[in-house]
Amino acid sequence: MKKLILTLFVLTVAFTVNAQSNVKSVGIKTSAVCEMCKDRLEKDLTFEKGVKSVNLDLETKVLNIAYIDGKTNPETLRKRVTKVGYNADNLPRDPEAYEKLDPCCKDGGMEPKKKGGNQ
Amino acid sequence: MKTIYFLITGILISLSAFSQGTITGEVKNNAKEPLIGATIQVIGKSTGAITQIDGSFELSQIEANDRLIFSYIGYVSDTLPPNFSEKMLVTLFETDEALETVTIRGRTESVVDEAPFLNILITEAELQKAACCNLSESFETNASVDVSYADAVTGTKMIQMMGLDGRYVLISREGIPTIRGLNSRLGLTFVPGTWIQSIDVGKGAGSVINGYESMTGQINVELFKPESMDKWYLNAYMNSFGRLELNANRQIPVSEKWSSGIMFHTSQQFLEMDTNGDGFMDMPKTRQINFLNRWKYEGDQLMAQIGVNVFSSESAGGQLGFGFNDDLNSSPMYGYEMDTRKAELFGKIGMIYPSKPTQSWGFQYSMSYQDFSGGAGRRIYEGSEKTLYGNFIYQNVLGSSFHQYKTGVSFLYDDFDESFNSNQTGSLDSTFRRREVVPGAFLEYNYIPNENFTLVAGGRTDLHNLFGTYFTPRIHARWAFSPSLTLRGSVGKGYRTPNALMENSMIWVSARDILYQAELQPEISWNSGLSLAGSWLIGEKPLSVVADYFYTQFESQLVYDQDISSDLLVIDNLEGESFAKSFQLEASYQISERLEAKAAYKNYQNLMTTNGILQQVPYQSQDRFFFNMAYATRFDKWKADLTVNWNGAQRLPDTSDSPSEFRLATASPDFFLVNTQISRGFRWGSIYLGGENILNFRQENPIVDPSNPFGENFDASMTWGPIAGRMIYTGIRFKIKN
Repeated sequence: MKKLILTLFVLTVAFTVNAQSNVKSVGIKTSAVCEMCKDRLEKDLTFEKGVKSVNLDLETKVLNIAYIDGKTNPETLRKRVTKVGYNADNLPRDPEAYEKLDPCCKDGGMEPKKKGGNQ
Repeated sequence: MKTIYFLITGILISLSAFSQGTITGEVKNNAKEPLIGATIQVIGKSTGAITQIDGSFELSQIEANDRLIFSYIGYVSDTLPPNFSEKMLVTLFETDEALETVTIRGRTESVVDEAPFLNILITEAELQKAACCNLSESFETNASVDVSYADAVTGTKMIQMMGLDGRYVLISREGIPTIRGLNSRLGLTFVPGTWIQSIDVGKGAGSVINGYESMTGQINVELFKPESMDKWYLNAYMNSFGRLELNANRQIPVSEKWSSGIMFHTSQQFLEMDTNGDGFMDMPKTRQINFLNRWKYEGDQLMAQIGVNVFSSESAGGQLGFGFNDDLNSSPMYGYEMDTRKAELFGKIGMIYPSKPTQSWGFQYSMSYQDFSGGAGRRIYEGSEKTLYGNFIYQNVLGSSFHQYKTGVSFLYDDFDESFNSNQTGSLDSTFRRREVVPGAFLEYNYIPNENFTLVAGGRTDLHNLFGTYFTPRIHARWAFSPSLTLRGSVGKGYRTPNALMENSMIWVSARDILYQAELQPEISWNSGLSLAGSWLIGEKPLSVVADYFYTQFESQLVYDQDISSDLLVIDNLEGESFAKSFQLEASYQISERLEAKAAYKNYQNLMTTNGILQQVPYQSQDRFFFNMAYATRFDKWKADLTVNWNGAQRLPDTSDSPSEFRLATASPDFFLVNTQISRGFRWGSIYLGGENILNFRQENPIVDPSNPFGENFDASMTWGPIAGRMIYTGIRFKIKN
């Protein structure tokens, strides 16, 4: 039981420390085009050090990230976005990562097929 | 197969002024080809759509909380939330064959809504909530399957469904009945948890396609598939009882059409734990090596796979100090040993016809040899089983997709050779040999007049070389009589051949004389059940409630009677009545985006005639309560889980003829079991920390007269609760994606 309480205590402290830190947010313009891109970027950045929350707006292609100042910074986050295979503001995407993306996530991947459904 | 229930014409897309939103999208396969005629169904509603020639679809009146099931024949269905802002791009993956049941990938377990059977699917995410260790422990967060304790020596965990022993459940691996025969008890521990992709729990008499053996239900285990495995999946696990596990799954890309996967498991229980100080290990020391490799071919029409599974497992338990190499008969100590080896070759082959999407055939086969060698105290057991199994299934429609059928033939060859030598008391010294040869044929008809109603009527005839002709009729019906309520009913007959020695191995660990009076005959039961499933939105979050009632009546049963005398175990055919009534009420609710709660109440009236009296089956709680709370942040970065099980009092066998100091109460106390786990996800995998039985509840004195194991009062079989106390575990999962 003691072990367990201790574990819970340590975790609580860890959370509290997190919460007290200085949370900032940044918007990064990306080259994301589809739902899959959104999922991939949000998932990857969720696990980036210092990141609290991530949301990509597909209309504007802006990736909004809340992060803890001091643990990471906008420059690191932009670099990470390029490593996933997308442009981040002025930073060009990593070509190798881009190659591995699904066809629909590549340039023009969403264009040939028009919004369907109505016959 | 259930995907085809969706191939229905005339789906309503009603226009409404109150429409919440319209979604559009495309459904494709993994080769990015559009799927024409794939169905999209809104869970709990009568709306849906079928994709057009370019794979596109449009659906109106969709709410943010709706869940959409995308399905297509021959493909694994997917359940997704709607996306209004963007065109939805849905990729469906081909199933192994048309034989396979639908797999819904989701965060947790769920009642498979469109199925005519009451099926509960346990997904990988759900399985990871309780990280240890093998199939016998995979049901901890599931309310329909209960876990019970065999005895105080062998460490075996048993499962129960509807209050009846797990041997009445047909347990299959990807459709092939696997955990049966001599390993119906131990076999669960030979399926490592890290191999399991999902588990489908079906309550009630199952489909006739998989045989006559499902008497109370079916549990089908899907392993990770070569084509969808991660390049590497590594897992290490350790617990405070001294158990260490290493698991490695590896995908081997071969070519475009061929894929292969290797799964490896090794584990050891290296500590001798004696938390209650009775001089006996709470669980045996074990060491296991388990290996599976399969190859899969996926052509345009033909799909085939072949695999091999070999394992070796050794256990040594009993009094502290008893080792793996000690001899049971000559050791001054009371020991327990069980060495098991198995080799199995299995596979499937299936064909679909792109021009005739309703038609397909498949053939499943398996060939295995396994042997068991061990015993307890001076009782020595040796057993081996050779099995050959084949099942051919053809499916098509009759005129239109309103009428569908599956038909086929099966073959089972099962050769048993067992010997039991009870030097301890000299009561049962026998060899058991049995060879079963069972060809069979089956037909299952599905009537699907509309999406709200399904009738499945099936029958099979098997010609058993020892017991004559088995006729197995089964009927299932599903009626969604309102958008939020679904009624299901089933009736079916089941048969199985009992294996008295292995199924009853807990009795070895007692001084009771074993009196085998039975004439070998199949166990036969009728199971019927009704269930009502509802789902509603409460505060924009889904609430689902399932109430079910099942009644199982035995026409013939092998009874293990501990009630006649505390010195005896009498194995005899049922004389008189035996039945089980089970009621379960389960509710789950998503409290918030991150928090989900699930609660269940279960009542089992499970009566069997023992010692000439119709009475409650021993070691069985009549009332049980289950509660689970799951917390997860986005993408499972943090996950936390808490499961509480309350087990009501259990009747204990009559011990009134024992010396007073060795008598047991007539019933066990009730008790709580609480498990919890927390995990943190990373890009590369996750780490987890958990505790089982964190309230540290233990059965006091689980062994009667432990200081005289060779004396006449010794009995370690009267176990109703956990032997060892709290267990803390931790582990790491590491994945390299392709």
